[in-house]
Order: sequence, then structure tokens, then C-alpha cells
Amino acid sequence: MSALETDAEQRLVRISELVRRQVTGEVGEDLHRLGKQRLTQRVAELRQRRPRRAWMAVAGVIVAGAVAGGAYFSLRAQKPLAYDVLGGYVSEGGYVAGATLHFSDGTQIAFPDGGRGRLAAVDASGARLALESGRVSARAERADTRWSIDVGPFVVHFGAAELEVAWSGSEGLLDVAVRHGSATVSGPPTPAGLGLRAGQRLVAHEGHLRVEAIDRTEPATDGAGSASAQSPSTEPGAAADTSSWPALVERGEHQTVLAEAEQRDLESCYAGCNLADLIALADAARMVGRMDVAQRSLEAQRARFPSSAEAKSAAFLLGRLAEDTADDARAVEWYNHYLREAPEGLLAAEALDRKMTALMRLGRVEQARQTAHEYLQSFGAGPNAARARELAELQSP
Amino acid sequence: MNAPHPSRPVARSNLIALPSPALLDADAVTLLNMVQHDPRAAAVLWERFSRPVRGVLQRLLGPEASVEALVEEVFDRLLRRASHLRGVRALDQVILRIALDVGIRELRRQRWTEWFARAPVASVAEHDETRHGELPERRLLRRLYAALDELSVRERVVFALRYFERMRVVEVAETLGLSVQKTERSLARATRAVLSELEGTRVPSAFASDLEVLAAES
Repeated sequence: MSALETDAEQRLVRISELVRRQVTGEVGEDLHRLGKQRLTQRVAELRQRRPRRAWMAVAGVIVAGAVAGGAYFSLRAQKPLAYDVLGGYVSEGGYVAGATLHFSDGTQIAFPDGGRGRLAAVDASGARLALESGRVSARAERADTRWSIDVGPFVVHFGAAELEVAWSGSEGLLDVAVRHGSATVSGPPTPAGLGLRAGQRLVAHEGHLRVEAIDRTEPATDGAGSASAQSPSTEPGAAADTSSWPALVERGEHQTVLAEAEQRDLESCYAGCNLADLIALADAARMVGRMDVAQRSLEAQRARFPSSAEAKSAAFLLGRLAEDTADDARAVEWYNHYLREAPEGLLAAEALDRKMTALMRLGRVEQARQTAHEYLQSFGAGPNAARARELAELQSP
Repeated sequence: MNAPHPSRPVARSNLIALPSPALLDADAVTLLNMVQHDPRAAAVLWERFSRPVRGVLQRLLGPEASVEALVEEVFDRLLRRASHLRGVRALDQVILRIALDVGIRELRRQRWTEWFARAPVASVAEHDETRHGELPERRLLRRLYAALDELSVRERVVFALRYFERMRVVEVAETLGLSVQKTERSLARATRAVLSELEGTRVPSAFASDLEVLAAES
């Protein structure tokens, strides 16, 4: 290369470096978050639309059937359920404040403590309500009834069940506790609906869903159902606390969380902190490299909230931690836990892949091959299928 | 008792998905597969790739171009193709390819707009005169993008990938599906035009020390 060409090339390199420094594509955090919000909303909409397209033909048949049978059913139209109002107030427009509604099928729905909402529609098989603020408790006994409560962007569906729903519109915080029966909650983070069984509570805040066991020591309240007594971190107002550990983790203030936990005494936190704080502590500890604290927090999640979704994920994360400390045998055990507890979980493919790799490092080739076969059976088109195939085809030593 | 009003409240969401640590740890292809089951995976993909995508588009189209809608289009296209990308290993290459498709289409759209309107859609407007108080690097950028505006779309993209994205000529050729010879010819034409436009312009000295190192490394 001539001196002239070298000079030109150097000049271009300088210019391109200037471009890379000056034209980074960085935008303000607001714009960045707005883009993310729009993307997740579009994904949620796409997921809702997809089944409609797939089942369009079936829907056509159903619609045709419905039209044909319409005359028959219109003749037999049942009368909507009747209801009485105890206490509080129900306006002609259906607005409810602090009242308890007693329906003719025995269902009771209460808006205690000044809870406000709306009775949107009543028919023969149930009703649709909206909770605008505060709490609503419901007890429906007939399995052939259908009830729903609109809460912000969420809808809670249930049949025969006893449950409480709390909503803070200003904080976007939903709390659903199912005492008996079951319920389904659908909304932007879970468009297909998330099923809750008796004894489970769902807390949704800013798209983050958390399912945990209801604390059986919670006191009952007046009204249709039981209390929605909450741990400090799950109260509508509490989650907005900018100094809460989840909020600190969200802002990247991991050291602050660690410092506060140590000040409070780590052991007492493992034993007494609520699930949200344990998750935040584990995350903060992982981020600052305090693997001992991360491990204990994850183990506490599993020990104290065994039925929560987080407990299952914790098994996977414990496997990752074990790998980080070169304890492959322990990692394999944790991945096995995760795969047993969540065989169709979101991390199942990655757990199988990591288990396979850890087994290879341990020299347990036959088990690794077996895991590779499991991977291919479940995730034949998965991202690590090529590696699994390679391993599965290895000759036994 | 009067029947209640039959209307139902409008459900709107202003929620922003927060990914779990497990999602944050997942590799890109796993995330793409997860999107169909968990919209939060899309949020993690956005966190991981939106800035690089925005950077590529901004450098290709110019510092004054508005690229936010284009970035969102890149992700829309990616998610629409998700079911066909399960076996893909290097998702970042796929995303780059989609970003370039979107950028190239935008460049072509600008050219047509310019042709119909008989007015230039400049990447950086009014590049001839030095503006009062303008920093030297801004002036250099204006002149650079003015030069790029004069190139064909292919030449511009080849130049941007080679110099702004620091790709080798072979990689540029592979990414754009061109032969190496054709890529070299496009690059040579683009380089001549850019150097000619910037002749006599000095790279601001504030960057010189770092750039000397870079140049030496290259």
C-alpha cells in the first residue's frame, strides 16, 4: 500500500471513529422505554390475534350454529339474576360504593372499606363488574355461573370460588387472592390468562407477575370473602415505595440493597423477608458478585414459598450459581430440580442444555448423551439442537 | 331495582414489562422462542438489541434522521419471523440484516421523495457554509453525510458497513449478498467520493490521540 493510500485509509478510520462517537443512536430513557412498551403491547396483541386466525374456520362453523340455534335460545332466554344491596350505595348507572350485592343464585360480592366499582352487566349466568379502586371480595357457589371483574387492564374470571381482588390504579398494582375454587387473570402481561388455584395469590405490578402462597395466618374480613391482608411489599401503596428493595434493584442500586440487608441482619431476612424482597436481594447479590447471599436468598425462596413460580426459577438460578463456582455436580442436581418442577417451563430448554454441558465436564458422557436425547425429543428445533445432536451421536467409550 | 348500565370500562395498559433475572440471562435465540409464550422476552430483546439497531440505522441514515419508527419496524419484522429463526445461531447477524433492509428501504424512499419533490432530503442540511459557532466535528459530519447523500444506496451502505460498523470487505459482501469484487468496486467509488468531499477538512484534534492508536491498529 502506498503512503498516499495509507494516509487516506487512516483518514477514513479517523472519520469513522468520529461518526461512531458522535452518532451513537442513544436516545433518552423515556423514548427508549416508550419503544419497549409499544413492542410488548404489540406482542401481546399479536398473541391474542393469532388463535383467532387459526380458529377462524372453526369459529365460522360455531357462528353458523349459533345463528341457526338463535331463534330457539331466544325463545328460552332466561331471566337475569336478581340482586339486593346491603349497605353502601348503588346508582342507577350501576356504580357501587361500599356496598354488598346479594345475587339470587347465592353469590355475594362486597366492596368493603369504601371500595368503588361498577356493576356493568348481569345475565342469567352471572355478572360482569369493574373495580375502580380499593377492594372487592366475592363468594360464588355455583359452578355453572360465570363472573368477571375488570380491574384496570386486567380481567379476573371465576366460577365457583371465593376470592379477593385489590387494585391501586395510581400504582397499577393488582392483588388477587383465591381462597377457594379457582380463577383466571388475563391482562397485557398474560393475555392467554393465568390460572390461580385455591391458596394462591397473584401480585401484578408494572408487568411483573408474582404468584405466591397465601399466608394462612391472614385475618378474615367482613363482606363476601376473606381478607386481602397483605405483606408490606404487596400493599398497593407499598410497591410504589421508591426505597423498597425491588425498586432499588430496578434502579440498579444493588449495593444499597445489600447494605440494608446486612444492616437488618441477613439471617433474619432469609427467615422473615417477603418473597419480593428475597427476589430483589438475590438479584442484587448476583449483580455485585455476592454469590453466598444470592444462594441463600434463592434457597430461602424455595424453602418458604415452594409453590411459587419464583421457587422453580430459583432452582434454575441455583444451578447457574453452582456452575459459576465450578460445582458441576451440584449444578446438575439443581437443573434436575427445575426440570422436574417445570418440565415445560420457559427455561426447560436452557436447563437441559446446561445440564448436558455440565455432565460432559464431569465426564458423565452416557448421562450427557441421554440428556441430549431428551433435549432433541423436546426441543428438536431449539437453539442448541446441533450441539445436542452431535453429543447424542457420540459413540459410547 | 333498575338494571345496571350495560357499558363496560375501557381497559388500557400503561404497563412496562419487567423481565425476570432468568429471562435476562437467556441467550438471544432462546428469548426469541420465548416471545411466543412470554411477552416479557420481547422487552429483554429490546433492551439487548434496540440500542445497537438504533446506532446502525442512525449512522446509515445520518445524525438528523428520525429512526425510532424504523427501530420498531426492525423488531416487528424480527418477531414476525420468529418461528422461522429457531435454528439460527447468530441472531445478531439476522437483526443486522433486517436493520439494513429497513435502512435501505428508507434510503430509497428518501431518494424517491427527493426526486418527486425536486428537493433534497438531506441527512444533514446545508453543508456548504460553516455555521457560526459550530463545532468542527459537527461540520465534518455535515460534509460527510452530504457526500454520502450523493452516493448510490449500495455504495452508501457498503461504505457505512465497512467504516462505521467496522466490518471487513468479505463480511460486508456476505451481509449484503454481493460478490467481493462488486463490494470492493462500490467501496472504492464511495471512498473516492467521500475523500474528495472532505479534502482539506481536518479531523478535530480533540480526537487525534485516540484515533492515532486506532489507525495504527488497523
